[in-house]
Amino acid sequence: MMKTFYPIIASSNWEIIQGRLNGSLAAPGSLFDKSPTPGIIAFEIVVLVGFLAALAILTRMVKRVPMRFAIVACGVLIFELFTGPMWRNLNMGSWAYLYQQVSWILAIGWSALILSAIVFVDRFAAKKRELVRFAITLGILTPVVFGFEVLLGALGVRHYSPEVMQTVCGIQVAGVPIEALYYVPVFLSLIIGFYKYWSFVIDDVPVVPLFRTPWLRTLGITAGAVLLFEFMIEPMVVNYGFPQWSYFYKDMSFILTGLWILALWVSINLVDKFLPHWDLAHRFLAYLGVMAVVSIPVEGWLIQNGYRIYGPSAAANFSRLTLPGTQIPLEVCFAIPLYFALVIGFIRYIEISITNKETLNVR
Amino acid sequence: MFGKFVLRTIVGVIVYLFFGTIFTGSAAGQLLAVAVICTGGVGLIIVIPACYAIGALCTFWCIPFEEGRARQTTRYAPVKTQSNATALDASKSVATSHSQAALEDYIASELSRGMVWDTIHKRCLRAGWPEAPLKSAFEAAKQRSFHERF
Repeated sequence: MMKTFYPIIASSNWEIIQGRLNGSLAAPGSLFDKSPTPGIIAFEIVVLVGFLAALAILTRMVKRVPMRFAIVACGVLIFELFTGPMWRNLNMGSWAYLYQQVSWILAIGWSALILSAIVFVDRFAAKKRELVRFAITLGILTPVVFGFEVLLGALGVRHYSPEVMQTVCGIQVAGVPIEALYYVPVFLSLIIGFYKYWSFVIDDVPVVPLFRTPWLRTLGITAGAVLLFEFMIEPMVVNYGFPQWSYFYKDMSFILTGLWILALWVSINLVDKFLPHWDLAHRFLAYLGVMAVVSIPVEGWLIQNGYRIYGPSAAANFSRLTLPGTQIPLEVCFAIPLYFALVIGFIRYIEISITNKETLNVR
Repeated sequence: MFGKFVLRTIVGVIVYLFFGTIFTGSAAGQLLAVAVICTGGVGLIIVIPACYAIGALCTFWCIPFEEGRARQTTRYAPVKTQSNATALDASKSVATSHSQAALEDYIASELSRGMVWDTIHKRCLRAGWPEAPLKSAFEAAKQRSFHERF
């Protein structure tokens, strides 16, 4: 009877759901050590107190703090969900987890930290240009976040997946792979870019429309953003079967990376070209919609034909539910728009900051 | 406009099939056929925009997106402010162009924040706007804020 309520769910998916409901099938990623140590509990209390203190201070400095916080938290959670298979957060207590190994305590901690840095820099460097403020925020946050990574490692919370450990060079700084000095600024850039884009919406910042689309400039920004992110998530998935000449770094192929850059570049510019009268929020949804429509079938086809092979850590996190009628894991269908949401936010933020450099630094 | 749309889509299909066949062999054609035939044509919702996007990208240097802009330029004739009704009619016709509407919104927004016209004008010029549409948008935005106020 219930099955009729879910006609779009394929029968194999239905069996998996039933298995989950009656307990015969364990949820993915549920079998890991959650038992906390006193040090971790103390850390969690400090994070929660710090979060409340940050909210109290920020409320006196800027308006609409809950909304701003929600946007940063949304960005952090998107990132954590998407890159979840790359790192594990263990021993935080069963109360601390939101989904699989994604912890809400860590998410609100990162969010409070990032939002505080952005607000402080915006306040005390108000006369600097937007991109300079972005660089200052990044410069301040990178060592702080790296320090927290060291602390999380020392507490026994943060562990890296075997795929990540295989790709690192082996040099460690206080127990954290030196590559974190790359991961951290990329993570921060995407979150800050995503937040800043939406802060233009919250603050109703007038953004000057462009008469001509700067195709080359947006291509450069898009290529930079996609490459930065692709280098970071490279351990998660193997790109297999592309022509040998096209591989430029490990298994990263010019063809695939170029395809994403091209799709993103065209989508963003076409939306800006044909819908310049839409507000920033709706345009963001349009970028995302176009990209999702284009990228999900492409990714599905690549997976089904063996061009994209997700690593064991990523596959272990899959619920085994698939997009009806296809073999595309449902997580992939969600992860792709999530990935593009962050990248699009970053690209548009940089573009708006360049175009409106005078407007943004006097507000 | 429709002719250009068809042309770009056809170019997109050709480019896709050309490069797809080079890199994946017959799989590229199969994907297209499966996407269209096996979905009873529903797949065209994805295939047409995707091919149009590829075609638009490949042809933007020789088939520029000028049609809308050319039409706009004729509408960019400075609005005469002889009467409110004339100005309103003119501003309505101007607003039918999306870019012009966006420019009007921007100017109206800046004016409502107390920004002076000289500064707005300078910023719009930096964003590449020619003089004529700027003045037209300014008049329309002024009329709009006048009507919003009273």
